[in-house]
Amino acid sequence: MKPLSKSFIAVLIAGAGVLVFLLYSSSNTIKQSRAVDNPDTIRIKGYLTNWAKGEFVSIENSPTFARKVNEAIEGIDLQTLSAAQKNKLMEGFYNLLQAYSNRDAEYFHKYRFALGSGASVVVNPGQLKNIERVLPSAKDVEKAVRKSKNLHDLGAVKEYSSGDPEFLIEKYRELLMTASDNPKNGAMKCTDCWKGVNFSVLSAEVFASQAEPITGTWRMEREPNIGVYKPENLVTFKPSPADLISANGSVQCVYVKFMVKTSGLVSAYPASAIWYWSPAQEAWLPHELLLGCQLNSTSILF
Amino acid sequence: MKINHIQRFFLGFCATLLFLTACAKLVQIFMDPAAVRAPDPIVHQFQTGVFLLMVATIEFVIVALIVGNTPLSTKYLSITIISICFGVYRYAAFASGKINCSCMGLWSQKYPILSQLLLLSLVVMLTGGLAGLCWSIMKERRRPMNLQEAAR
Repeated sequence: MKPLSKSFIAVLIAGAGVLVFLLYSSSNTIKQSRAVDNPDTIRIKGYLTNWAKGEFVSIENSPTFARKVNEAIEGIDLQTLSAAQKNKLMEGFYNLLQAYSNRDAEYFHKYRFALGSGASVVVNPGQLKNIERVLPSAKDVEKAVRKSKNLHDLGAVKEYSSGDPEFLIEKYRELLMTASDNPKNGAMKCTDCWKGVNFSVLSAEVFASQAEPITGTWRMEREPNIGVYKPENLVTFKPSPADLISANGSVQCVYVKFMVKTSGLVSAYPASAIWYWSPAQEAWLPHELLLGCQLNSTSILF
Repeated sequence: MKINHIQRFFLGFCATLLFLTACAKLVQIFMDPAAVRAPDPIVHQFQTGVFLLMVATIEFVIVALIVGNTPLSTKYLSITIISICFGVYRYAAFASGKINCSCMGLWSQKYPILSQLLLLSLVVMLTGGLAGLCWSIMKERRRPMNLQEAAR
């Protein structure tokens, strides 16, 4: 009888080694996932219980809810802000909650493109491509774009020069529509839409930053969280924080932290947003959104 | 259809599939650097990116073994072992409640049908690999040694 070849024995030994390691890792993972007293499970369960406590106000598109948002912002000590800045912040916060509650592209635009005159938007096509990969195919989007005759009047938004701006913006809008829980676009269900907000834990901090990066990640990470998630910026603004720092020496920012109730598996989690003040446009421009919970990255666009 | 044709078709299918899945893994590493930094959901010892890279390398090595000048038994053995490994990984993912398989990068999440097709292909690879392994070992071991082989 012919003996087994050397390559056969080598593959057998290497394969057996890989298989043993994989079996060891897999059995550990399965054990951990089933263990009731797993420290991670206990910690996360504790967070989830605490986060879900308290009174959540249902997020609605109504004057009553807008009034509640205004009252909540008024209740925070924001003495360094002018009345106009406070009003703009209320508007921005209201639009943020609307944008992630019903995933209506119009509210998303109001929040993400909240500009005065003279500012422009830079779309990050690379990021757009990344998002596209996980949403229905570009063909479907293009078809929808061609059908769509309702181009938004985005004013200054049209200034950026990457490709055909209207096409890109419409594409962006269609991506948002597709990612929403709108039954007409059933391909991607909104699994973690914000349904309520707990105003009793709402906090805001105004600060002047003289250097970049401006981020609230470190704040979020030191608080209870189950994996801080920061969606990448699909759009950035001109003037950017760096432009304002080089022009004025610093940029005024506001960090708002709040708790949201969701329709997803994680019933409530903390979230925070940073806006920076653009004096020329007299507008708070959205700079960062952070979630205290690692979700499916496709479901939150920023 | 002769047995040689079936064998060639099966080995070609396995090599193509492994090559495609290896490429998909590499593409995910380069296109989604943020997502691949997290630990792998099953093999916690490695970051997802590192783990994908390792698996892609193994897949390329197996493709080389399949298309290269190696004995038939080695080709089938490598297919069988990697199929068992994929099966174990999938079972662990299923048993620990992580349904998504990163076998084709983000594409398998985007198109669930792709994930199901890969599962079917895995079954085909495993059964075909095992059958081919038994058949090739029996065939090779039954064959009498020639003089040169005996002299070695």
